[in-house]
Amino acid sequence: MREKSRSKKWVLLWLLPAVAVLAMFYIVPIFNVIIYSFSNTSFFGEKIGGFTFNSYKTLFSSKTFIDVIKTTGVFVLASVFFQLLFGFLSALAVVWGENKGLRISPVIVRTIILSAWVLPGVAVGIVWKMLLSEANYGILNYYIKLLIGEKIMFLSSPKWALFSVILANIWRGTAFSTIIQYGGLKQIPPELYEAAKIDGASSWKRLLYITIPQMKQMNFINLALITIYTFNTFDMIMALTGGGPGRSTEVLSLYIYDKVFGQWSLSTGAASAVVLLLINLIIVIFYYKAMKIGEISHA
Amino acid sequence: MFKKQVLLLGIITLIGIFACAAPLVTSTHIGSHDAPISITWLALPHYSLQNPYENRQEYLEEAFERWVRKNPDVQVNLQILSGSIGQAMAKLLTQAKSHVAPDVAQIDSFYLPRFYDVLQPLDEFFTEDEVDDFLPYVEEGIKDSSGHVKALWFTTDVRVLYYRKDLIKNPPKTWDEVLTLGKNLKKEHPDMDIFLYPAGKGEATMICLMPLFWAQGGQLVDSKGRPVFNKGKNHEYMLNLLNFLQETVETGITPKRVTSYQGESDINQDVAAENVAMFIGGNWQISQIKDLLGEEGLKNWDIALLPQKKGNLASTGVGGWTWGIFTSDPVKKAAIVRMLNDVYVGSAGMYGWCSTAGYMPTRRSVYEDYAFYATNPWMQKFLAVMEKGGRPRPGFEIYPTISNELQIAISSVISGIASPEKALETAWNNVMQEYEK
Repeated sequence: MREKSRSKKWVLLWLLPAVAVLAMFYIVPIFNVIIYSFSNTSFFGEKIGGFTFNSYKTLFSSKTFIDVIKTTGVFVLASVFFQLLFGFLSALAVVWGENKGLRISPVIVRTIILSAWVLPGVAVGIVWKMLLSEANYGILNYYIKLLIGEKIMFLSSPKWALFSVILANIWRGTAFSTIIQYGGLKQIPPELYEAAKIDGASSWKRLLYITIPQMKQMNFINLALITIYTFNTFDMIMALTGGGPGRSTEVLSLYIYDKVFGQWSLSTGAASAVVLLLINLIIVIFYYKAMKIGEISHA
Repeated sequence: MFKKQVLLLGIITLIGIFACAAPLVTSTHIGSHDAPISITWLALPHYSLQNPYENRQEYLEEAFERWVRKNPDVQVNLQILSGSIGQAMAKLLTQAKSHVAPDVAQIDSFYLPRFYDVLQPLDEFFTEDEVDDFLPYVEEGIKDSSGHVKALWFTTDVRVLYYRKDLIKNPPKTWDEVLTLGKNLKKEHPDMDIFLYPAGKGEATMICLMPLFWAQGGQLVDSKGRPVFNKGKNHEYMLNLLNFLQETVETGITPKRVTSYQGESDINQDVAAENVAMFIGGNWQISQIKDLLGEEGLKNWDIALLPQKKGNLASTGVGGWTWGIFTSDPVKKAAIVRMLNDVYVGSAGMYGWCSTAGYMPTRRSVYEDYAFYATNPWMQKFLAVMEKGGRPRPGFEIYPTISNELQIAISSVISGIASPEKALETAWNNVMQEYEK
């Protein structure tokens, strides 16, 4: 008993530096942001203003903020759905190739997919901006014009601009989804497929009744993580459209950046950041529950 | 054993020699580490000794070497301004309010008014003539409301209309001329985007297009900093501007993709592709056009005043960088002013820096006394434009919100999301909601 409590003290002692770093660089700034959000603080003031709900009132009564939330919602839903779908399909393709005895092509496919993920977001935004350019020297529009006779306003039409940022985000984020789902597919016991084949199940039925149910926990985790990443996407959209034209691609992360560093409106920016934090917290709780479900089902 | 001792002694001696001969100017430090006066200096990379441009690096190394030999009692520790300008200025202001700012820092002229309260007065270091030597808007901008000189504005920039001389004989002076000329050129060159300007999310949109509002007599804020851009005559002037921009798109002379141009230099790709006949840009683009097209290609281009609603109006957006001193230590202040004068701000220093880096000086004497500027037709043209109505953006707290909302309004009108009236109304409501919070 004494041994246990002594070793517990040592464990706490060893954890202390990590806790101190986490507290200093995560907890304290988050705490500060929450305080700013309940004040009228600006960069011009000498000190933090008194407690007030003004920033939240301004935020939730602003049509602009509601539009930003809607844009963010569309961006996240579309990105997450297609990242999950394409990630699943590409993981299936890689595993299928491996099962067929192919060695090199699955590696090539995995590398190509991963290369999209390792690129910095700004680079992705710039590359897609060049690809989607509506000028005479725009690559994609050159071929589109040959095919249909006119260009598509990928970045200057509000609907096409949102489509463009979603497309670039799917291109970038599918890789992560592929890795997670590849790992999930590799964990499925092959005996299940063998038994199903013996029972006469078709490929489609094996997919529906074995693969997808077995992937449930992995997909919950994948869904939670890519949703968090997508909600926090900033660099790629900033480089690609800057939030324009108008506000058509202004997602919550860009709105926060603009409020704090563009307009120097610290308290409103902090309030928006708290909203984003709450959204992320809800997703983390969902992720935690998914982990628990997984642990129970595996036990 | 003896040989080993000799070798060791030799190595120690060599280390000692190198240590004693440590350079006085490095990428992070100027002067001797023993110097009693120690200064912290914050600058952008391409204005500092960590310069990505070789010619600037050479100029600064030589200039600082000369200066530090004249001032052996001073050492300077360099810090670099990083991140976006807005972010960097916000961080600097926070540091200044907390009394932990560096002794001297580079401040964007656009943000300067917000630093007046935390900057040290510099009147004692300059005569009236020396202050009068600055361009009019510069002299106004470096003084606070009490008339004290609070910063040293040492580079500036100006917006002009660039046009191709082989396509356009007489540059348009009015909006109607722009539209008429543009439509005619579009008939002759249907694949060309005739008239370009930045209209995306970025301060370039404001600094390039607000002069078309200001020249009519428009004001964004009143003398107390209250937004007025949608009140009285300003409402009409702003609608005039938005309607003109909408017309440039509807007539086909300007493509909607200008909403993706976040900076003036984004237009350079169209210049390189010979895809544009005229555009609103910054003075520094002259050297960029020369790099893209060569001397021969540059000969096809010229500049003119920005086209206005009526021919007798003139205005242009100006910007630039300043040095602000935060330390109240009189010895440090004096040392910093000596350093800045020698390298960037005094007549000779400003000529050296601006001619090397391709910036526009802010002192009239530099344009008159140095052949590089006095005999350079481009420089004289830019000077004439600056003197004819150079106007910095207002330095009030609400301006960033006004700027953000008007950028969105302009972008919305051009891409067809909103009519000029609707876009202006939305911008006004959002600004007033923030102002009255």
